[in-house]
Amino acid sequence: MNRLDFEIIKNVIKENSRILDIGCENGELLKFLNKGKKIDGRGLEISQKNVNICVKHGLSVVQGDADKDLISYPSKSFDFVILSQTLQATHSPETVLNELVRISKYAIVSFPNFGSWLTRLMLLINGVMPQSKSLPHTWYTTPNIHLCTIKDFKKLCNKNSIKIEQSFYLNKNGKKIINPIINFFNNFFSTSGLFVLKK
Amino acid sequence: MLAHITYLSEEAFQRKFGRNLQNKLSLTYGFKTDFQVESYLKHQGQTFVDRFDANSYLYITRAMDYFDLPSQKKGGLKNIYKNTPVKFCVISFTSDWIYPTKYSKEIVDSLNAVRANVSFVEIQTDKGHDAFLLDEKEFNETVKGFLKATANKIGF
Repeated sequence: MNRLDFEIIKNVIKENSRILDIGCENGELLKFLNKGKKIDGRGLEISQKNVNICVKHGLSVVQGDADKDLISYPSKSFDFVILSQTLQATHSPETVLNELVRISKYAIVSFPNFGSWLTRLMLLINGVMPQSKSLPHTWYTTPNIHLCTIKDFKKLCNKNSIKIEQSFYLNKNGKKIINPIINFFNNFFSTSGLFVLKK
Repeated sequence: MLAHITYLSEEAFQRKFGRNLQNKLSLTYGFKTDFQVESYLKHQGQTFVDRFDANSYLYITRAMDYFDLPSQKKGGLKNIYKNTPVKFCVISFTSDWIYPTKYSKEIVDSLNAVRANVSFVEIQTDKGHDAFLLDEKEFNETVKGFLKATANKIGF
């Protein structure tokens, strides 16, 4: 799934831009972006173990928490900030979202779509919290405490006057949905969404 | 002796010495050396006295008292780093109680505030302040990775 997510992000990002990858884990995306493009990439990662791996690989990464530490960055510090599959795990998604668009020119946000037909069906038929490839945890072990649908997300952006510049809808294999009809009913058909935001 | 205690950590002392006795089977309840840790600290203390002039410590501690980086510029610590071209790597050790992680993070925050290029790593170790002098694998690899990437960047 991630690989394709990465490819889309790479296409969105412009040459010579300053980037912050929030929740960069072991730096896979930063390394991927470094390969094809000239970028000034930084990372913020909550797990110290992952941070150490990143720095060992020569990446500029600091240990920190998206919920608490974005405040220390001045406005428009970055051309792009990336929050890939992490928004749903933050304590305060609305605050984080506003911080993202404050510290960057463009924010790239992706998250699993809880409104996908598969999730809806699992809940409807089985009557238990859905588990899938993009939502692999049980309800009691999941870090995803703020799951939302694509529709929910758009509403939140709207409420905060955050402009959605580009939208990508992905199927369960992480592939971009091309069929225009399926694309139109994205909240029902896509497994995850990726958005480029601006304020 | 007192200073030497601060270079190590509680865990390291516990692991190395515990309440082990020095060349004896039972306590003497006197003022002579009963515990291994006493003997160790006495030895370290003596080594320091032999190696360094006590006056040099007076000068060093005074210099440290007068050192006040944030006051050098208006706006404090973050303005010290403004427009810096330097690539930073801040490293702290979990059991270092002379330079705790909290203060390292303060430096990192002020570097972020001026968009400096900074990495921050905290190394898990029980070797205390002395860890940076010892063969600490995680620490060595971090420094190696950072230097290598920086050298690559400037075409070294």
